[in-house]
Amino acid sequence: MILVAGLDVGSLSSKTVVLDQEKRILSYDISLTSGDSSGAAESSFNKAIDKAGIQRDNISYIVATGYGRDNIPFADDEVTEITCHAAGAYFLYPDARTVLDVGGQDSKGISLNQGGQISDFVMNDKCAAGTGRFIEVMAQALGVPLESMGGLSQESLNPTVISSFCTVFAESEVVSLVAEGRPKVDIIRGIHEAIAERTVTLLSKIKMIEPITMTGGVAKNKGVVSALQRRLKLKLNIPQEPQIVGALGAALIALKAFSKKSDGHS
Amino acid sequence: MNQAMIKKFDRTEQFRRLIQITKEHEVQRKSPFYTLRASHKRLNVIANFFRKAYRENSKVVFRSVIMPTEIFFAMDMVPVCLESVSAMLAGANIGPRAINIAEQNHYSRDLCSFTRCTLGAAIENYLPMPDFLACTSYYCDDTAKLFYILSKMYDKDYFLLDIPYDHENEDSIEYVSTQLQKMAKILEERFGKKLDYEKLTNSIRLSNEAREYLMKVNELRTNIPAPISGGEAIDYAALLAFTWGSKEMVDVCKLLYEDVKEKVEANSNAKKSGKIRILWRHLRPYYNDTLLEFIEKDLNCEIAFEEINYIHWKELEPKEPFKSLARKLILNSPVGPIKHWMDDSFGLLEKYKIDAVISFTHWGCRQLATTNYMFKDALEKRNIPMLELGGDCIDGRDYSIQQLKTRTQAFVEMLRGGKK
Repeated sequence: MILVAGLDVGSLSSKTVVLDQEKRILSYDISLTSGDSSGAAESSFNKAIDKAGIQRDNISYIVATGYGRDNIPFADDEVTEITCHAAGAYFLYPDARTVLDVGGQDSKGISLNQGGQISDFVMNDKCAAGTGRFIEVMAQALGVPLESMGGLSQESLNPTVISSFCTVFAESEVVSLVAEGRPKVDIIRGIHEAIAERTVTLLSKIKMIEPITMTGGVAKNKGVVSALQRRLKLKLNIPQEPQIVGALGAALIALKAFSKKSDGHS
Repeated sequence: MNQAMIKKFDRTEQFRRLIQITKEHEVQRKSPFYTLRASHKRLNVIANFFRKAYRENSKVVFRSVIMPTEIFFAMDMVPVCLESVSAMLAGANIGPRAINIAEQNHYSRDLCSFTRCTLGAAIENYLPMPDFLACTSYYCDDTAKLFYILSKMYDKDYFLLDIPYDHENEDSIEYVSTQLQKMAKILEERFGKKLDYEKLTNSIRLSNEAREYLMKVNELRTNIPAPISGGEAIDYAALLAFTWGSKEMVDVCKLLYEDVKEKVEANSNAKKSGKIRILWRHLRPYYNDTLLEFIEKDLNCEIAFEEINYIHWKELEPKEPFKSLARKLILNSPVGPIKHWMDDSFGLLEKYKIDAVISFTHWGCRQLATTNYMFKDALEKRNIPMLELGGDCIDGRDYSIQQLKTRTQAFVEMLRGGKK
């Protein structure tokens, strides 16, 4: 059996997907990157193959993606996260025409043609406001566990307005709102609305054709997803595990590359 | 640092300061990937011009990027292009220091970093003391203000040449021509020296000669595979802009022509490369950066041509020097409506068999950023994708170069249909 792996080494987390030749996911792993991209990739990869009950030698081809993709010595190839998220999203949703990926420090909007090829994309440039790290900093400022943020914001009927794009200024704004006695749920929803506003602006730079698939860790946050859906007036496709879509795309590209290599040898 | 200090030093002291600051910021870096003899000659020519500007007996004129230099050479003046100076300072790793000094002196981060870099260098007093400042009203708006500020700081005369928006009108050409003549009169009075028309004719002839060689180079660059890398070619027109009308520029352009001709001959049996061919808009990052090399070497693409190297003007007429210089100035692609720029650039698409366009959008550059949507939209209709790459030519501290590389690599993957 041919097995391949995709590794997505992001700024906050490293993800691995192990795939078989029938494009079935045998296992996956999500681990924190914690500053050591190469070590985190190795650790995540080892955990994924352990879960699949296989050895490293069983993996025929590995594609790395994410900001740490250049730094993975055991990968056979490296492909950008834009291409990988597009490949992963199109595999899960063959009707996908637009992909929105919001990760730890990057946001991307990707247009796909009917065959799943990328026709255009945009990415945040000057700063990382409105990404996963932004939510993480705000959660710390509020003393709320990150995973509770999405649920809590659903309880708010009167969101506050967070006007700063800058993470540091927004953090000060949040601290001031807490001091004013504004309910935390309203502040959290305000944070999610601010992210949604910024994300919709980014996404609007490409031709947004429905359906839109959202990937990346922030897609797990129900508050951001609700805010985005309200603003876009549509329902987003959210994969069961949106955080591994980049690694899945990398694994699919690995499978294709290995098949091509094998055909060349046969 | 006090802006009033400017008048205190002579040029020898200013040069000593420049050398000292350069040494303080010296970094170990990869040498440029120059493959042409002309590129090394160009570096020497620019360095010599710059050194000449620090001589006590030189008549130095600060000029903005499209102000014609032929008149200054005819009057034995040394033109210094401030945009090129900022690029050189960035290349010498002094850019961040100069920008910090400008910001400490109330020049906002929202200003173009070319402007802030020049201001910081002027405030720290290591630019050569100018005798005269000559600027065009377009482009850019903040350059006109910069020259005014510098004229006050150095207490020197400032001439602003007004550029009309309507570039196709003969009245506009006449208007600019009259202003150029007026500037020449001011220079005559200011320096007590008559403009020697024989020297002006010679300067015009040299300008035409350099133009002729660059036209031939541009023709040779239509060959596939590309005879030279765009990463090496991009600095010719941009950094030599203040030498039009000099013998030194002719020598560089002639050698460049010979180098490129040799490369084309050496490639005569080469197969068509099949590489993606890119048209590059605007300039490049001038600090220690490897972006263009990454595109051409790691991503295996050809930067086939750069907008900045396009020769937009006809041969200058020695009998009508002011009028033909006015025409050269006013026909510059960014002058006038966006359509003028688009017509010039789109003419390059077929000529250089362009597959895709990368627009390096310098932050703070209003005239470029405002054109991007119209360019992208019109290019899409021609099935030519365009990547808008936001960054900074002078200051690399506001963003990650790795992120620029990711976007560029993703663009190339997109062009190749998902394959690297």
